Amino acid sequence: MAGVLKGAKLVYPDWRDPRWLQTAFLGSFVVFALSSPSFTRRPAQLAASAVTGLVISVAAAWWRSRTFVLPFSGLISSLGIVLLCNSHFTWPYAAVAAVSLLSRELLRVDGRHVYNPTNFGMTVCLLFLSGWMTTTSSRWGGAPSAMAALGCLGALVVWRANRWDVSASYALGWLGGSWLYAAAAGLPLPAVLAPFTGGSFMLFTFFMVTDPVTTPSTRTRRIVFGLVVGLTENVFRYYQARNAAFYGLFLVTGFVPLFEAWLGRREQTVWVLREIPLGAK
Amino acid sequence: MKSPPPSIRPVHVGFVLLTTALLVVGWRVQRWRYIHTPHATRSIVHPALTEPLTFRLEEIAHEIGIDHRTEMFEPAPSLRNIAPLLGAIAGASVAAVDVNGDGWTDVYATSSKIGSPNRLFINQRDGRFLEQAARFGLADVNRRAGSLKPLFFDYDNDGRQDMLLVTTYCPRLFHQGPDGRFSDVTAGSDFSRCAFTTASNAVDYDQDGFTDLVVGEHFRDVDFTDPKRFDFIWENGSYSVNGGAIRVFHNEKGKRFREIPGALGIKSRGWTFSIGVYDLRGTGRRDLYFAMTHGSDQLFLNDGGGRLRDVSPGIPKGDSHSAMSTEVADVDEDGHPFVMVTDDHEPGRDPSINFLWKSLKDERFRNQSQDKGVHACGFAWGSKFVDLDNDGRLDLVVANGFLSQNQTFDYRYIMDSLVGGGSRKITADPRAWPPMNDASIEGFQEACVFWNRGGRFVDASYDTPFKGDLADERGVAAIDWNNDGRVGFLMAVRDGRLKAYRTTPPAGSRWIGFKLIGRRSARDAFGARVVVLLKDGRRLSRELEPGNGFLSESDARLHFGLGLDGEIEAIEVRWPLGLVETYRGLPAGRYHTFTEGEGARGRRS
Repeated sequence: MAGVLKGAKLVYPDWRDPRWLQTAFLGSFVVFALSSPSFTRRPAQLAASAVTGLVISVAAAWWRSRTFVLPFSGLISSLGIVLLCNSHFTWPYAAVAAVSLLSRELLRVDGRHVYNPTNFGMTVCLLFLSGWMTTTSSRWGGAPSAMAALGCLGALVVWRANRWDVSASYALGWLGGSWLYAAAAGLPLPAVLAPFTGGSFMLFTFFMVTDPVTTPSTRTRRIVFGLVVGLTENVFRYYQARNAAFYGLFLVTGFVPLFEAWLGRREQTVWVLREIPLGAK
Repeated sequence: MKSPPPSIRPVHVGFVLLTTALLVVGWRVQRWRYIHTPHATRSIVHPALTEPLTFRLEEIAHEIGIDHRTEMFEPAPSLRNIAPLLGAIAGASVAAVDVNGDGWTDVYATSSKIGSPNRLFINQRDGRFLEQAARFGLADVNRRAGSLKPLFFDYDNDGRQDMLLVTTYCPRLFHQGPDGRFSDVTAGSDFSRCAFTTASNAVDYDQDGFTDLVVGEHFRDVDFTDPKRFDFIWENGSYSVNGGAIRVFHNEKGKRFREIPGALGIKSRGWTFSIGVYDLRGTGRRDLYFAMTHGSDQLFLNDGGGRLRDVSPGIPKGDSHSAMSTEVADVDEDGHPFVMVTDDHEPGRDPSINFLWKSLKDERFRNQSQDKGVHACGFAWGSKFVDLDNDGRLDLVVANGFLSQNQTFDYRYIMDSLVGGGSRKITADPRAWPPMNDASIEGFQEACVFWNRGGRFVDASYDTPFKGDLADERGVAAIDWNNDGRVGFLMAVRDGRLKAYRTTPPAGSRWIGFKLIGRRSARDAFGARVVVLLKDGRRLSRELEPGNGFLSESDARLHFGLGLDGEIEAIEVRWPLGLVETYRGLPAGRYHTFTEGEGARGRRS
C-alpha cells in the first residue's frame, strides 16, 4: 500500500474555489428534480450518472498524475446531466456521463480540455442516441418564482466564478438572435422569446456556457464568445434543429482553441486547489 | 498586458474539423434512422413479421355502407390561430352500440363542427348498415357545441340505451323512449357546468344498482365559440395545473343525476383525456384510472361505500406526460389485469412510451410495456384490446398520428419553444401562439397492431392495411359486425372517413360470447366479470367495460376466442353487486345471454 501511495497526493478545492457554490447550486436543483412531479427523475438515474462520472474522474486523475482528486468537476458534470438529460431509461444517464468525462480526459490541447464536458456528452448522445433520450426543455414547469430563484442563484455562481461576462453576453446574443430569427421566420416575437424565462435557458446561461476552462481567456474574447454562441443557437433554431442550444455551444467551443492559439492564450487561474501528500516521496 | 504570439498547430485546426464532422455526421445519422417520410415527422418504423400472420384485416366501411366523414371543431375567429390544434384534440369518436336492442350492434359516429350531423348506422343484419340518426333523434345534436364522446348506457334500467354526450362545451344527457327516439333530458340533472371534455365513463361506484357517471374535463370552463378568457392553453409541457375538473355524478335511482360536491375527493389539475374503469385488485369494486396529459396520471382505488382512495404515488415516475387512452385487460391470463395507457413517443424529441401497468399485490404498479413489446407506436391515441385471431389471447390495436396537414410545415418546434418557457402568461395565452394555418404536428403516422403471441406482443402493423395509411386516428371501438364471433373494430379519424375493419381468424378457430343483463345490479351489468375456464387449465377473464379507451365505446358483449381446440370446462360470472354464478355445458360458436340470478349460484364475493 505504501508503495502505491509513494509520491501520491490528495487534491481538493480550497473554500474559495467556485465549484463549491456551483455544486450546491446544481445539487439543490437535483433535489428539486427528484421530488418534483414535473421532473421524471429517479434516484437510479442520479446514481448512474454520478457513479460513472466520479469513477472516471478519479481514475483519470490517478492515471495521469498519481493524484487522488476530490472529483468536483466530475460531480458537477454528473449533476448537470441529471438535470439536462431526459430518458425513461437509466443507462443513457451513465452513457452521457461517460462520454462527458472521457472527453474531458481525452480531447485535450495545450494542457486543458477543449469542450465543456457536459455539453459534449449531451450533444454527442442527443445526436447518436436520440431514440432513447432527449433533453428537458419543457420539464421545468412555469412558476415565475422558481425561475426567479434559479436566476438569482445562477447569477451568484457566475459572479463567484468570474464568468458573469459570458452569461450576460450569451443572454444578449440570444435575445438579438431571437429577434433576427423571429423576423426571418415571420414568427411573433413572444413565441420565439418564450424560452428566455424557462429553467432550461437559465441552466444553460449560468451553468453550461460559463465553463471557465473552455471559455476564452480574456474578458473581451469571452464577451464575443457569449454573443456568438447566442447568435449561433438561433441559426440552429431557424432551421428548427432540436437541441439548438447544445449544438450552438458545441460548435463555437470547437473553434476556441484555434482562436486562442491565433490571438495568444493568456494563462489564468481557474480553480483554487489545496494538496495533501499521501505517502513518502 | 501583451498577448503571447500566435502558435497555431494542426491540432487546433483538427478540433475545428472534429466539431464540424460530429455535427454533420450526427445530423445525417438522425435523418437516416428516424425520418423516412419527406417531412419533419419522425415515425416508428414497423418491421416486417418473421412469421405469417394468422389473421387477416380488411377495411370494409364502404362495402358495408358506413360512410361518415368527421367534421372538425371550428372555434371563434379570435382563436383561429390555434383552430387546427383544438380540432385535433377534439378528434373523432365512435361508439359500437346496440341502439335498438335487436341484438345486432350498430355504429354511432360523431363530428365536432358546430351544426354538423352525427350519424347512426343501424345494422341491417345482412352485413350492411343504414344511416338512421335522424329517426332516433341523434343527428342534429351539434347546434351549440360539437360532440366529443358519446357514452351509451341505461341509466334508468328500462332496457333501452340512453346516452351522455360530452362536447366542446356543455355535456348533454339523452333518454331513449319506447319509440326509440332520444330526447334531451339534460335540464333535469346537475350538468350545468360546461367545459371541453373528452373523458367520460359509466361506473356504479357505490354499488346501488344504478349506473353513475364520471367525467374528466380537458380544458377549463371556456366556451371556445365565444371565449371570454385567454388563459386556457396548458401552462407548460410537464405539469400544468390550469385544466378542467373531474366531476362525479350520482344516479338518483334512474330519475336524474346529482353532481357530488368534491367529486369523492378526486382532486384534479385537469387535462384528463380518458377514464379507465376496472376492478384492478379483484375486490369486486371498480377502480378508476385517469389518463392525464401535461402531467402524471391519477389512480383511485374503490374501497367500497362510495369511498375512493388516491394511490397515484404508487404509479412509478415515468415520462407519462401525454397520456391519452386507458384500456384495461387481463392480458396474460393470471387474473391480474394490465392498464394500457397510450402516450406520445417521438424518437429524437419525446422519449415517452406507452405504459402497460401491471397491478402488484401491494397496490403498486410496474410498467411492463417494454417487456411486452407495446411501448412505442408514435403519437398514440385510442387503444383497444381485441382478440383478432380468436386464439383466446387479446391483441392490441392503437390509433396514431396527431395533426397531418402540410408535410413541410412542422409546428411542433414552435410549440415546444412556447411550452419550454417559464412564462405562463405567454404559454397559456392562445393569442401569443403563431398562426398554425396548415401546419402539421407529429402527423403522417401509421396505426399499430400488436399481436399477442403469449408472453409478448409482436408489432404486426407491417402486414395489415395500416401500412401506408397515414390518417390521424382517434377512437377505436371493438365490434362484432354480424354476430359471427369475428370481432373487428372501428377507427374514427380526425378530419377523415370513419374506418371499419373486419378480421378473418384462422379457419376452424372457435369462440363463445356473452350478453349480460343485470337485475339487482344495474341492467347494463358494466363491471361484470366473466371467466371462461378451459379444460386445459387456462382461465380467460374479461370485464365488461365498454367505455374504456379514448373517444370510443365498444360492443357491450364479452367475446372469448377459444383457438382451434379450446374446450370449455365452465363459465363463471361475477356480477357487479357480487353475486357469482356458474354455467356449464354451453355450446361454443354463439352468443349467450346471461341474466343475473338465473345461473347456478356460486360463492358471493
